[in-house]
Amino acid sequence: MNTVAAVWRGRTGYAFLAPYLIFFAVLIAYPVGAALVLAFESWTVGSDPRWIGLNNFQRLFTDDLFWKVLGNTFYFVVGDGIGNLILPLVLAIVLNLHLPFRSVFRTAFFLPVVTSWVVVSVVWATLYERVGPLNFLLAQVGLPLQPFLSSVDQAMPSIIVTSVWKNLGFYALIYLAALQSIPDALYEAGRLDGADELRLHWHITLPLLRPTVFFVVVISIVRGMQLFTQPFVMTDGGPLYSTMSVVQYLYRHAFLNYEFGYASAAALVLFVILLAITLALRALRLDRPIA
Amino acid sequence: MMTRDSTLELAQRAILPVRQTRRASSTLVTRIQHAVLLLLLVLVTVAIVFPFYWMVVTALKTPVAAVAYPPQFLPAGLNLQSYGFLFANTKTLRNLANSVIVTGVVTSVSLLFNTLTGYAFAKLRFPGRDKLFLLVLATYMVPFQVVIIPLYLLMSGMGLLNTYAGIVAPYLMTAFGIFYMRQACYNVPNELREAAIVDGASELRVFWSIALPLLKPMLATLGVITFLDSWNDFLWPMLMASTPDMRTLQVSVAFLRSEVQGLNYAMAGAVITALPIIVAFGVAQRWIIAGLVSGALKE
Repeated sequence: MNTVAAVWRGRTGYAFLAPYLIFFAVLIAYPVGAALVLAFESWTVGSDPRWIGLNNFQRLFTDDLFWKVLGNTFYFVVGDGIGNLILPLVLAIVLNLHLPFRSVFRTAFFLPVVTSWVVVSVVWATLYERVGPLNFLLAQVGLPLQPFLSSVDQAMPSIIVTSVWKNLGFYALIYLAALQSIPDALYEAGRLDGADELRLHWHITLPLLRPTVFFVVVISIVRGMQLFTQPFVMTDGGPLYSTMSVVQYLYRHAFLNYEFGYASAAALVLFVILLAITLALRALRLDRPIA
Repeated sequence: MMTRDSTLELAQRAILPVRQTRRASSTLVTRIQHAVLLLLLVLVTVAIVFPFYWMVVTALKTPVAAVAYPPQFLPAGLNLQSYGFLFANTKTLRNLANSVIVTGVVTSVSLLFNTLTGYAFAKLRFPGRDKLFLLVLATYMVPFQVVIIPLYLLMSGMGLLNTYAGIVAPYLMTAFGIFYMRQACYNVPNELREAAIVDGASELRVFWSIALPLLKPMLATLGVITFLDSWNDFLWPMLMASTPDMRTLQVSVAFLRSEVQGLNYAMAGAVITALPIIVAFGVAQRWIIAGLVSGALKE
């Protein structure tokens, strides 16, 4: 009786929660459940789902293209991650000095951040053209014209450059916030002891920045593993699948080949990889400031 | 220790006007160093801004001039022909309307529902409240790529492919939004609510007339994040639109290059797509930056 009374008293709460409960049931729980089941089925348009056990996964792990796109995605994650780690930090250190026009710079640096990946990709694809402004600038300084997105070797690095460019302001702001939380007294003390700028940064800034660096690494990796738009728009996964990401592989199999089961298996594998990376990073406990 | 909350606080402080926390060094060497660094900053800024400049300038060219080599860095004149062409010969105007509708619906509806839910979790008492909140946490953990296929099949089964309803459906509520508003609702004083209830107000009335006005800043921040994410969204709207007239701007821009001959048209489409956000950014910079940092903390 007590429970019934409690439930009755809490009825307004349930009423408020009703939209979410419906949403969760229809648009979260059901699709997640379906995804888990689909991964073990074979299903295409015009036929019924057929249980095939681990066949999708077997096919996945023996598909050279899958391993290639996995490698491409990791390549992106590492390159993008390094770019997101270092360049914004340098930028933030410079911005932390009391130079004039900081708000102008801040506004400028955030323009790419608020622009969509599609627009950024379309514009950068133009910049990377054989006869585009980037190659023109290279020619002015006597360097040979580069194929950029048409080259198997240069395509992914080009996409990485674009991606780092877009997020520069965002990560710089995060670093800047962390830098500004370091008390000046520490630097003063260091200077009194005769340390130069480099030593100051090595011994004070970097250790205190460790949680922020960890935070940046985690976000960068999680986002990077979900790479899709830039290669899709700029190179459609080419040339020769050198820029195709796991998500694009998934997309092709699901929505161009209508292999819903197989693609679901790939999605599940992606999820597991993401989960494993996140858990592993957490376990390393790098988010504490000092060891 | 840098927790999530302190990162957010600090990032918000970072965008406030700077207090002088260090005595300005006045030695000549430091002045020169600062001048050099300022120059570097200017160069970096040029590198950041140049692609936007290129986009705007190319949109003002003719199709032939757009691919000329050496590239024309200055526009020949204020030639809006590209935009006229897009509006007359493609579905761009309709795509713009689609983006406005989709983003408007997603932002307003999700704001309402996320706040309603967050308020319930924060302020109302009912059995199983904490267990139900675990559902929200579970939603959080699931990346979109896992559910995109079943969601697509679900929309297909419900006949919602190529419809506005299908495009907005997955975004009507978000785990992040609920988290955020629940946190915000904790700051609504209980006394106000209790006093209103004693006076005979219903919970809904309390929510609407007392809590919501107090939550305005948080609503604005969450609204901004949602607006940004929705306007810039690509994969799901592309999936949902099987005909060009149901595409949002992001989707149409992605295909402009291959569907319309002429780089200037592609760039004009890019300008139309990027402009609203940039204008919003100019107007509401602080909100947007604060919102983006909050958004990052969700990942």
